[in-house]
Amino acid sequence: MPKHIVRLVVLLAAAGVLALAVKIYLVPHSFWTYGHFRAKSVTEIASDAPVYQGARSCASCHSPEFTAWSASQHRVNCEDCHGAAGRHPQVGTLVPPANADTHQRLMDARYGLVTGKMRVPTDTVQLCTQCHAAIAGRPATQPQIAVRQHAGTQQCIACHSPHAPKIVFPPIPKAALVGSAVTGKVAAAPCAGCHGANGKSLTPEFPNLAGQQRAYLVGALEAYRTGARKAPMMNEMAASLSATDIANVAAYFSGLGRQTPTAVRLVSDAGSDKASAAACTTCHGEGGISGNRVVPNLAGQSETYLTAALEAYRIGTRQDALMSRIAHGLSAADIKQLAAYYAGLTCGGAKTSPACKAAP
Amino acid sequence: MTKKTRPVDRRHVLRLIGAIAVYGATALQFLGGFAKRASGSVAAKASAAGSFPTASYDWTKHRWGFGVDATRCIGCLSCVTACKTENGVSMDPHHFRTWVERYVYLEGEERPRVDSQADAGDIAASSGSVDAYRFDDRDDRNVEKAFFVPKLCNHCANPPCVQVCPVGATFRTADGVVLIDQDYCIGCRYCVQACPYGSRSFNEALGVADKCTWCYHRITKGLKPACVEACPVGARIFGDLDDPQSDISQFIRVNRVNVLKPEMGTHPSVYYVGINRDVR
Repeated sequence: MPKHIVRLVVLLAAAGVLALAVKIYLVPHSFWTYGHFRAKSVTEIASDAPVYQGARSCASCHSPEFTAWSASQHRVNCEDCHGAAGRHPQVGTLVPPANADTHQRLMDARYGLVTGKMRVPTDTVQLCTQCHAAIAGRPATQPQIAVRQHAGTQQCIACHSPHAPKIVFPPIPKAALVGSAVTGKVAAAPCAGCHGANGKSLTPEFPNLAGQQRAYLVGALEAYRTGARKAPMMNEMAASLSATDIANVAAYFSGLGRQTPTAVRLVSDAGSDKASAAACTTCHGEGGISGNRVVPNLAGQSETYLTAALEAYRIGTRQDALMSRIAHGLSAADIKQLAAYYAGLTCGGAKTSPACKAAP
Repeated sequence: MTKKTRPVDRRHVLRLIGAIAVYGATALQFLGGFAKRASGSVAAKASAAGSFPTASYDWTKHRWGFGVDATRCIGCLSCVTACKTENGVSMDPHHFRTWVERYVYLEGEERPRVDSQADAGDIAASSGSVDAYRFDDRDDRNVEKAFFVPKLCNHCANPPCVQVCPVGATFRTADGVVLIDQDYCIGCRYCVQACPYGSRSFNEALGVADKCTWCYHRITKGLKPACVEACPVGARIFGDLDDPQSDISQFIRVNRVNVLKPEMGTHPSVYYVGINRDVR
């Protein structure tokens, strides 16, 4: 074989050895195991730890909240509002190895966001409107609000429980549709001692009943009768009433004309009172005349009674999921101001309001 | 004249044998690689090798699919936040693995404007929407019609991004997920350019490409992707296409589903309901 051919063969052989060495050293071990990629990377990616833990993982420690949430329609994952659970509740820091590779650094970046402490949102207006602000493009089935009109500057949790935000009013009792005012007048005779013969109370401790919402009166009497609402005198009185009596009494009082309140007195300027009552108007109506039949009218109610009622909700002697939540956030001064505001509202001042006209 | 021939001595024979051995071995190696690529699908290879990629998860037993019900989406962007948290994606508005677009038809206009959390799309925004991940600061007075469309990687059966990768750093798994080997990626960004859906981005912090993995670390543990977990209205559906009872199989069976840009021949695995021809 000629010398130059031999040299060429040797050169090519050396190049071949070099290529083989380069391939062995540079191509990762698991390359081509399943295709034109590093098979080991799939295992690496699959082995990462999940950060979102799901609502179930919250249940064992936060069972009251979990139960309330599970029963509601508000099936928003806990971590949407409270942040990813990550390694909560274990607190500690992940120490990356000194020779952390790209993948390890990714993992650290991920865990860097999770400190073991969950977020408790304080600005619920900012939080809730993320889903519930009215925006063009949101499906009509999504409950949406124009924030200013809905609650002014109030926080959402003033009225809504964050875990079960839908406010559920009791259904309108059947008795509220069937009673007879004429028969009711007779049955209501014992009530007159405190609530006045024409439903206008003789003493400020007792509420006016004239023109009150019929369904609310039925509900209140039922609650007194079963003992769900406690007031010794009323429990005793209601115990002697049959279901028919309750329907009739409610029909009688609700049918009485709502008139000028007994106490017309404003403790502070009406403007600020109205602003502080903004949260009440959603249920109790703009002028204190409720648009919801199971929610009582407040306009012209006795100030003393309103103060006592709010105070009772606040300290828990009177129970209502919604009212207790609202009253809990009120100070004694707030209560006084609200009571005075509603006591000072008259039906006369809002004669044109349909709610007022509708009341006979 | 006699031809001079050098005698074939022992040294030459040994050299020849050495050369043949080296070339032969190299050739066999390469041929072996090509043979592996040529012989059957990834799935077929994988099933022969036992449980892969992890001891408790066999990728030949699943074929993942994703559904988007755009009629349900409320544009709250919980999915975007969840994805970023779960996957350590930069929190600035220009990096994301999934995103939500709002198609807005203004009065008197035929073409929609595409509004996103990062870019108000010429729809007057009252304040810094760029930082807030919200849609509720837009001036919606002239909007005639609008709807939200969540978007993410389509995990195409024929992915252009995988074709263009020069180093084999991105690939499609046997269970139908397009992944990036970020330790192997050289950061050339060909794949970012190649994706017809804009689903890939560049991770400047790591110098590598970045994309949705359908939370591969979650789905291989029996969990759902973080965005699906986080969605409060069920607009995102995920499951195994091979299981006729899975959420995604039922979603496809019950609804008339579409894919994005079918004309590209990419065969996406994300199925949409409630979009129109303007959504691409």
